[in-house]
Amino acid sequence: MKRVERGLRRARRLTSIARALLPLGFASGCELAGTTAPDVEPRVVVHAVLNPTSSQQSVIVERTLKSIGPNPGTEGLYEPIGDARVVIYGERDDSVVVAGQSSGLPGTYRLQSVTITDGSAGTAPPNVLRLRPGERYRLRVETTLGVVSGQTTIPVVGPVDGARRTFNLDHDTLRVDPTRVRNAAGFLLRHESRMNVSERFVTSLGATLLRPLASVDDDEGWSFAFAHELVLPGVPQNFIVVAVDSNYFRYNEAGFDPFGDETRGNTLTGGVGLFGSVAPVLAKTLDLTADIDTPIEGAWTGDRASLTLPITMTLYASPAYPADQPFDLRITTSGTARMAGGRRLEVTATGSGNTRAFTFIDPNAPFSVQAQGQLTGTTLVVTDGQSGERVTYRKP
Amino acid sequence: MRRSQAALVIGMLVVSSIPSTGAAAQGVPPRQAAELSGTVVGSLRTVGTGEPVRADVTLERPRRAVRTDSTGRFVFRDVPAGRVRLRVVSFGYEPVDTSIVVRQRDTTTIVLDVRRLPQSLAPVRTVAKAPERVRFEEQATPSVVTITGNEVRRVPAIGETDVLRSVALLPGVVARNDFSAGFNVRGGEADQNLVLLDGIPIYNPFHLGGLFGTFIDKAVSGVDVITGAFPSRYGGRLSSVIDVKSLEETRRGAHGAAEVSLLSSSVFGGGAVSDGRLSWNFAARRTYADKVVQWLRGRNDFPYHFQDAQFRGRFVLPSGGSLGLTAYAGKDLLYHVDDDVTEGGVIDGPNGPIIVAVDDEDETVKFDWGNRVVGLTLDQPLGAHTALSQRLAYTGFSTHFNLPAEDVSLRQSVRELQLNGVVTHARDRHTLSLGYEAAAYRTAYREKLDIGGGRDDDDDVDFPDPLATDGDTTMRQRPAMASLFVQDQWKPSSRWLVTGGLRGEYVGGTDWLGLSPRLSVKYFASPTLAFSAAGGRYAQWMRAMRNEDLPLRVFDLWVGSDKGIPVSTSTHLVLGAEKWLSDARFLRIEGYGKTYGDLAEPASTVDPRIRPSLLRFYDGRSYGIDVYLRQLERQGFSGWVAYSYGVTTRERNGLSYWPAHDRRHNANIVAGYAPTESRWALGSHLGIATGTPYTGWAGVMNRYRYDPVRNIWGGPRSDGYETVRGPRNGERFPFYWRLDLSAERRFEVGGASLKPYLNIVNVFNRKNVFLYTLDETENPPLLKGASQFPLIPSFGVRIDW
Repeated sequence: MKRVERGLRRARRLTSIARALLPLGFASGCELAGTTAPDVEPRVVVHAVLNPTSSQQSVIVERTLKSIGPNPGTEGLYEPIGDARVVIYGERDDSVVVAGQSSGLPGTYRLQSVTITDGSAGTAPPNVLRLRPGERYRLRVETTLGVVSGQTTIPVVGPVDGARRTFNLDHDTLRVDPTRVRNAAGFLLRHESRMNVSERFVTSLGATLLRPLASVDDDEGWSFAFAHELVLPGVPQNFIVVAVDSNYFRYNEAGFDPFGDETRGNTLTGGVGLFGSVAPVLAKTLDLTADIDTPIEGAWTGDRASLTLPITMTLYASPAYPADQPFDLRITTSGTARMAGGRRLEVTATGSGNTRAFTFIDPNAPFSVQAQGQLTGTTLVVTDGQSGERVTYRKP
Repeated sequence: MRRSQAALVIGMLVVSSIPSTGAAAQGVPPRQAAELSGTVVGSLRTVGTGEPVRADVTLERPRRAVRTDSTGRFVFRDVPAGRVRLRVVSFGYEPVDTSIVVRQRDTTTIVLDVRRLPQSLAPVRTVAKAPERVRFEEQATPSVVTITGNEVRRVPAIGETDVLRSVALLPGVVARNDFSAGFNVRGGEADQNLVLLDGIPIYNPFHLGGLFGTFIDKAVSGVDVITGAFPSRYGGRLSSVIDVKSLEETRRGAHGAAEVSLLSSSVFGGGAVSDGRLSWNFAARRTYADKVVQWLRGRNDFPYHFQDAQFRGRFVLPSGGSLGLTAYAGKDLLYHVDDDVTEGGVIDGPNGPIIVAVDDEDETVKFDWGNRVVGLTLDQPLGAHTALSQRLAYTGFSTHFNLPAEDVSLRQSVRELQLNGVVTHARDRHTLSLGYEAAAYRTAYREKLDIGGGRDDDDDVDFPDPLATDGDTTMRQRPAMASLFVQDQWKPSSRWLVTGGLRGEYVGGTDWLGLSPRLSVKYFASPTLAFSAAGGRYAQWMRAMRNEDLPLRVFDLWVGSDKGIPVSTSTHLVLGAEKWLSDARFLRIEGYGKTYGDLAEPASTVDPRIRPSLLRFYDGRSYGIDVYLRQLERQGFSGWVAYSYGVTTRERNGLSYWPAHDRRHNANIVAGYAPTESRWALGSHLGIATGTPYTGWAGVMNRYRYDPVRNIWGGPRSDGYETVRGPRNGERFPFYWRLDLSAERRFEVGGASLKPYLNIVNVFNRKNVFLYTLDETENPPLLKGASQFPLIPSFGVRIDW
């Protein structure tokens, strides 16, 4: 995942810096034998994010662990605190007390919420949290280990653009109006495809999210350029923009300082963790298509049903998408397909000219087939690489 | 006196019938028959000059003695006729033995010429008052310590002796650890010390991340350290003044010295010409551990070295004044080019395409930093009671850091042009000083980091500067400062000394105007016991932005005060007593209290695009007691015992914490033995201290992944885990102690003096903790650490000619 990549890059950079500075500590003597760290009082860990698009908010309360090492004792992966008193306060003297932990994951406190967007105080049943974007909320968690508090201001974004649409990568542009966003410290850009989920945090949002890739000669000027090599026509993909407050941004983007006095990304008082807020701006599924202007592109129908090969395919190809891949392994063709029994597949292929190496994958099941394709005039012959089964496709 | 009749020229003039005139006969001879005796009349003259000689003249028969009068004449009456012997003895003259013939009833006249002798007196040893004693008797300013170049050379060190590391052994001065030559004085931060070279400030007087000081000890005559309540002539820093004085060469002709040690080599040359009217000295140094390691290992595993040079010249003006020139240049360089980077790709293998793995861990690094200093000083007496001093100086420090593979680059520089002067007039019981100081500063800072984590050429962020208006991302400042000060040292009586002063300062860019009063009072209960009280207000507008919790001082970013960064202030109060136990030994005890306001440090590692400020501000206070027992050099033995008890706190957002340099107890025992008659010189240092604070850990927390679209939380540790830090600096390192020894022997070879030496740092190889890391993968978790200096022997040779 891209997130993991980013973390690795950061760690590697720090390692390089440390390694570069190692000669400065040439007389550092010996490494000391390890001694048992002093036993310390556990601290309260709280995770909560207010999300006005949801009618349910969660607060996770647990205590710190001594280590992540193997422990046959009672302390395992997670030390929930089930007897905390959790209160969320709004600006207008309203508050909600969460009555005990909920069923499900121990230490999780759930409360119902309603979102008020007309600027009024709003009405809600007792103990239902009224979320008003643009206003500040305080969290207070009382435990036997102490009191933890935090505060957040919910970003204002207006209606969420969530409509699914068909998007032609050769012609269409996806835009957003950043001026309607207020109280956001930054934005989370997220691209979801079957192969990958990649995210990026930015502090400012440009209006153009996705540009006609056929005319793109660089990655300037569009916000989802970081996912360029994964934007493939013929498959549906999710494009998500979320406005986040500074606490959420900091929790995910704070650098690591081995000599710092703060726990990385922490904004709570009396404890550690996160109390932030997010507001989705755009969450669209785009059925990506492109102009059909090369022989391999178009709708293909097979001459017979097969257990491993699809009966129909819709393929797209363009040198503009995806971006150059290393080692000459770029995907040159992509699309969707359907088995005779109705299973829907995603298709990617490498290769050029009249030869393709296909991969058929069911994104919802463990189904994957590798096949070789050969285009001859108006006929595409695909051969299963394992079974040898062969299907001949023609355009209607 | 030597007896040498042969060397004596006797002029004998026999003048008949010359009556004795004016002679003052000294003796009355016994009665003899007048018919058988005569009279002898004589005079003594100095050979060459003819001056009369005062001497004792002895007649052998009968034995009688007289002393010549002021004209050199003598008379003997009633001397038996015949031949008689005379002896003349006088201090400073050769003795004279001669014989004359006395005639009956006659006067014999004789004139003797007596030769002077050169006098060799027994050795007389004069002992001038030590500067410390002079200061005790004549100055009210407390907390002043002087160490000479010779004393510095007795302190064991790694490789060459180090002026600033010696300063770190004084009372009230705490070194964070073995690797840092930077120090904290009475609870102050490391950048609060005004380090001067002949009055010129130096911003980063360290090499190798603080491991060595910049000054070449052979070019240094001594260091004055004022650890608190310094007088009004000093400004711009909050904690202390370290005034390093260049050596003034007084020997005629040219002289030199060289030193070769395990880590570096240095050369020194100096001399005086034109009857001493023009004197100069020059020193240069370079480390070569990089060359040694490359030669031994065949590859450049230690690509670091530093080099510096220092110059001092002085010209005595016809008017009686002098013009002095001081210059220093130094550079540290860490430079390594990684030639082993390979690119990935696809190659044709025997069985088809092969994907070649990428080795992209390019470890090329370029890191350099250094100081440039130059200053010209005019000292001119104006009559018998007034003196004028004017100085024009430039000082600069710059740093460049570049990691090309990681798109990390940092560039920083600070430059100061300073003009200052003072007029001092002494009259009656007052010594009045009136002075000024004006300085213009230039700072520049540019930092380029890839913090987006996406494509390499995307989202690289140059930390923005709110002052930048030309579109680049370099942070620039151009503050200026002007100050006036007045000081009066008043001695109302033999028991009281008072030094009062006022310093007014204006800092442009922040429009800050401040008045800083300073006062020191000393009362002599006896000629050897004095009590003192001193205090003052201090301000600082140029500061180093660094995380003080970092155990190494590698990269100093200097920024000036402006509209967003206030001027830091401090107040001092010192109460003390000093007792001279002998001419060469004294004991000083001082208590102090200090407050600090508007100190600044870099803000957290949060993305600078969303954090409110590059800096966060805090206040602080410190108090403690310093005890200083000092033995000045006597019969080759010198040294000191310094003990400090100190408590330092910092406050931010209502929370109080110990800063990383808070050391409760700190003691240093330094001893050197180098008698004049011996060819050996020995040195030792024992350091004992309680541990400094560090931020510990309070366990490990799970991180959670949150899906903002579906409002779903991942499970525990779905986004990894994080170590949780404890209270800031809430833990303490263990007890620290270390013993260092040195030995040097002198050989005279031709006209040169050869001194091989051996230093051993940490003789007992004590594993003092440098830092801890937490291994949270173990259960229970382990603290793993790295130690400070191990046992380090180093040797070298010094050559003087």
